[in-house]
Amino acid sequence: MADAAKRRATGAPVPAAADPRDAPRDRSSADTAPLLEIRGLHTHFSTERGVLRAVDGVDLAVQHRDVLGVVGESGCGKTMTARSILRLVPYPGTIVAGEVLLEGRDLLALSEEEMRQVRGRQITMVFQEPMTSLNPAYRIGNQIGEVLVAHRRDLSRGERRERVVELLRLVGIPSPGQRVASYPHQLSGGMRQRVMIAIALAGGETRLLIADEPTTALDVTIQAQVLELFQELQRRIGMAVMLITHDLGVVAETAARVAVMYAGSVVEYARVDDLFARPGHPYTQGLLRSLPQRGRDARKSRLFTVPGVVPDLLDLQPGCKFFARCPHAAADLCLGSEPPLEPVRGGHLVRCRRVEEIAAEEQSA
Amino acid sequence: MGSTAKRAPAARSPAPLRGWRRQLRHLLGNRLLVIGVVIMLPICVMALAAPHLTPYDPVAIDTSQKLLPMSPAHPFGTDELGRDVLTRVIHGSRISLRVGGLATLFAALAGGMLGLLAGYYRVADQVISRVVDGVVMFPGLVLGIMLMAALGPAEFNVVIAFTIINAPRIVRVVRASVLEVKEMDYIDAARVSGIPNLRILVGHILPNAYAPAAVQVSLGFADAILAEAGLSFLGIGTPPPAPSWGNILSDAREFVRTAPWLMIIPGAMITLTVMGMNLIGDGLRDRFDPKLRQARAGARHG
Repeated sequence: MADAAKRRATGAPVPAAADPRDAPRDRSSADTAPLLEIRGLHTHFSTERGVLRAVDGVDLAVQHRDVLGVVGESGCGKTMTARSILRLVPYPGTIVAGEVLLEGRDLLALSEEEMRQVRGRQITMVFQEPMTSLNPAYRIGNQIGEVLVAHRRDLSRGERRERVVELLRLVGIPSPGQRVASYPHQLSGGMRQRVMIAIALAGGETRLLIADEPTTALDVTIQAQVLELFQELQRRIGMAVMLITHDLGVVAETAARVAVMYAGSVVEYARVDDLFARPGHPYTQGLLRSLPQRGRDARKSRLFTVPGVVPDLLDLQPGCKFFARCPHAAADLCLGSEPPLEPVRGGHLVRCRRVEEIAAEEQSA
Repeated sequence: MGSTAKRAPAARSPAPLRGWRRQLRHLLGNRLLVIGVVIMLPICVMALAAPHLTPYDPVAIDTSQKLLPMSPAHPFGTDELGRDVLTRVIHGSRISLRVGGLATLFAALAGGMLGLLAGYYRVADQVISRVVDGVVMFPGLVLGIMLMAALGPAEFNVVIAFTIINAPRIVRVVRASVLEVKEMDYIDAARVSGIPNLRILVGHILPNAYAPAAVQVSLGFADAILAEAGLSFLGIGTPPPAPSWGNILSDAREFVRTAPWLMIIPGAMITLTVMGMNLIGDGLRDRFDPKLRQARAGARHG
């Protein structure tokens, strides 16, 4: 990270080491320059009742060829963070502060046309609802081809057709040669999600694929297939995946690193095994405890829930946002200013001033 | 109601296109549309073939033949300047359809484009919608009279006036459906894929948003024909001696008691044409508005 900061300060070109092909395979090495780095991102919505801080100071890094899971409950700012990366925040939202660095280049400083070329080429996104994410009026082949027209001017009509079939084959659509002529309504949900992935990869230089709840609308068996496809493509193409979900099971299975979001900011960032073994933030601890566990009789013991509700994003008090719901809250430490996102060990970051004490308490309990 | 429930999903997803035969049968099942086309088709043919249909000149004056009653030589008689009424009515259809058609075409192009911009770009919306509100404030015919007074009587000025009168309605309808389509996930998906804005507007939004405008356009066509006749009747539309239906009516005014055929025939033509276009408009609305279509299906089967 220091490396990235230095590069930005000196304005030096991206060093060769930032090329994903040369990046070390070892996922645990956090000190290499990340593919994507978000710093102090603020995305606000001006509403009639005041300013809604949907994204309120997000710091995140996605490593090359890595799978980052972003978890958090509805409305915690996961999707708005993703949309801010692509600069497609819906009205009346605006990105008011922060930096989004893709290989050292600040996306927030690009012109609209430069940004358009990043979308669909280097960074792409797959949405939750495959049923409505395809235009019902076009054959799927044309919808994939359209992305090629937008980003690959060099291809002839015939080459484009070949490439479309190739993409459909890549995402595992049977008899792709015939399927190019299908309309979206002729495909199942799982197939449509595969087409969406093909569209996302059509640009051809995909560095980061943002998947926003890509499996939520699918049934469980199809979910597993789609997740497998993501992992396979991630390895084959050498891209990074940012997987937004509220399903910790999906994260455990797919991601290498996790960011936990709460009320517009990242409260914990760690490697998956580390997060599940030693959750640092009280909110993460609550989330993990609320998972059903094998061997525990559901009829006898009710599932744990995090008490209270998410704070009103229009009316945030200074200090830790989790204060009102936190079992370890201490007014003198937690109120006043928001705790910083600080390392506890290695690459494990936690936004909590009492993290050491809480760990000690848990140990003794 | 059981059969309605079964029909509903088929109505919502676009019917799979299995060739023109299926499309044609679908259209032929739409009674309003078919009747409208059956009325309009002969009128259009008449307008196209006008010079070949009658031996007379629509503007040649022959006072020896004035105000003749119906006869084999002049099936609808002659007017006070000895012009054959049938010939004038036939040629009048050219003027009415030309003025109505051009005005509607321009209004559809201008209204469609402005509507797309207003629906898609928030800043453009502020400007366009305010202007549209301003124009809509005036009643159509009053605005027409004002514009014609400013522009002077000429056939093309009538076209300009009706373009200005009709376009705002189309802007509003297109804008409304763009606002709706814009929120669709597939528009988001296209933006995420880096598809250029112009391509999104023309390729993704327009095909999914034009249907309500098509209805407005056909209804606007009928309005333009009616209003052209109205302005000409008032003497500020297509200038005489051109045989516009409004002019013929205007000339016939003085002879309502002595030669009523002078008024009945062009009046009937206006009525017929406007009715035909309105039926086409209603037919298109049935075709394009899924809510209405389901309600009708329910009424028929329930």
